Amino acid sequence: MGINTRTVCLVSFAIGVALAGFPGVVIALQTFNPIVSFDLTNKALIVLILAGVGSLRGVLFGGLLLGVVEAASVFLVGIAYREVVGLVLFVLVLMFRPQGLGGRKA
Amino acid sequence: VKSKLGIAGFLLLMIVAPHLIKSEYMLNLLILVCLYAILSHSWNILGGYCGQISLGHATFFGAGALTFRYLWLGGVSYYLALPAGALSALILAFAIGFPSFKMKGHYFSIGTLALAMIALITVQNLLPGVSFITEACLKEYSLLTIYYLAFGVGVGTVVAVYALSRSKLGLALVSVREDEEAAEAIGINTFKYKVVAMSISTVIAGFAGGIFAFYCGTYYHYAPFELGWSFDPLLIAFIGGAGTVVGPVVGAVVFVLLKELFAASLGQVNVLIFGIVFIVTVLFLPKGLVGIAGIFRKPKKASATAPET
Repeated sequence: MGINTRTVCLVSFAIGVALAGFPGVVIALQTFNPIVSFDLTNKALIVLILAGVGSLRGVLFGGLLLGVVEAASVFLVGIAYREVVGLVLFVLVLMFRPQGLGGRKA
Repeated sequence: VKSKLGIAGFLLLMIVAPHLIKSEYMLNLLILVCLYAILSHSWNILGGYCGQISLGHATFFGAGALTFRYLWLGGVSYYLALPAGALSALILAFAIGFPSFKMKGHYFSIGTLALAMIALITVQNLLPGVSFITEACLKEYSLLTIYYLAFGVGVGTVVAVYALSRSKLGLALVSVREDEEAAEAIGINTFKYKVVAMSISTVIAGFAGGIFAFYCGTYYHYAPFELGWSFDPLLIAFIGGAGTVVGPVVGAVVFVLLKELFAASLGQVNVLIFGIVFIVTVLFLPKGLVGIAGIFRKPKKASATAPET
């Protein structure tokens, strides 16, 4: 259809990476170590799957949901398992609702 | 006949090797090669043949190690504890492995990665301590025993994978790898074959975990659950050649040698080397190091021996 896929891929990658820089700035305002990026990438992935890939509003609510669930899990199951709760949620959504909580069925 | 003689000679050489070299350091390396070869063959069955890229093999490896440790320290002899460890890995596969087949393609990979992280964090919290070897077990501990054990399991694994690659089951697995929907369409029960592949794979991973727990005297309980135990077999299989019988073995030799070489001179940075090696192999040698042999071989023979079908 005359779309230069290479350009589209490059531009979307560039925008994505540029956006990733903003939370990087926020992280830099507090104490951090370079390895934190793996955890954050992981969280981003969890939020994305919760939301449904390509769902704009879903990402907002997915992020909110993960934050609330993690905070609540500190009270309910202890701080040691905070990450586990997010991951379990992630696996369950992947298994039973692969289109995400907010996404429409493909 | 010539290749059979070669294999027999190689086996004989490996059996007498520890008596010839008499160097503990070399023996350690040989054990590590066997360990990594077993683990990456375990990954190879699921990832290389069946095409299900698992990033959660550390879970099954760790389960094998944990069970072996508990039984062995509890007084059970190692040759009974080893299959028990493998069995525990299989049970774990029933619990978390088979349901994960509900996820397809990339989702399977990240899903199993998430499972591995769940297992790692859980074990870290439940068993934060270090696993020490008891005095009674120290008597049983000898590098030579571990080497023969690892070598024996390694040979068994390679033979099993070879038999698999020649069987109808192997063909079915490859058909699932190549095109799952097409395989389903021609009447192959893909879920069944994925389950079979994962069962074999996890049993072997459990064996590898048991050997690790036997070999490493003192370690943190969660050490075999580290994510590295998921990534390393993948790396080895791809460097050597995924979906082949010799590939993971070649990869394991290269991996251990490179690791020894660079760990001494670069320390933690050696991880970087593997990243580069991995990218280079994937880009330029998509068939792995085993693929090099195919380039030089006569085209006709290569097509006859290449386990691509």
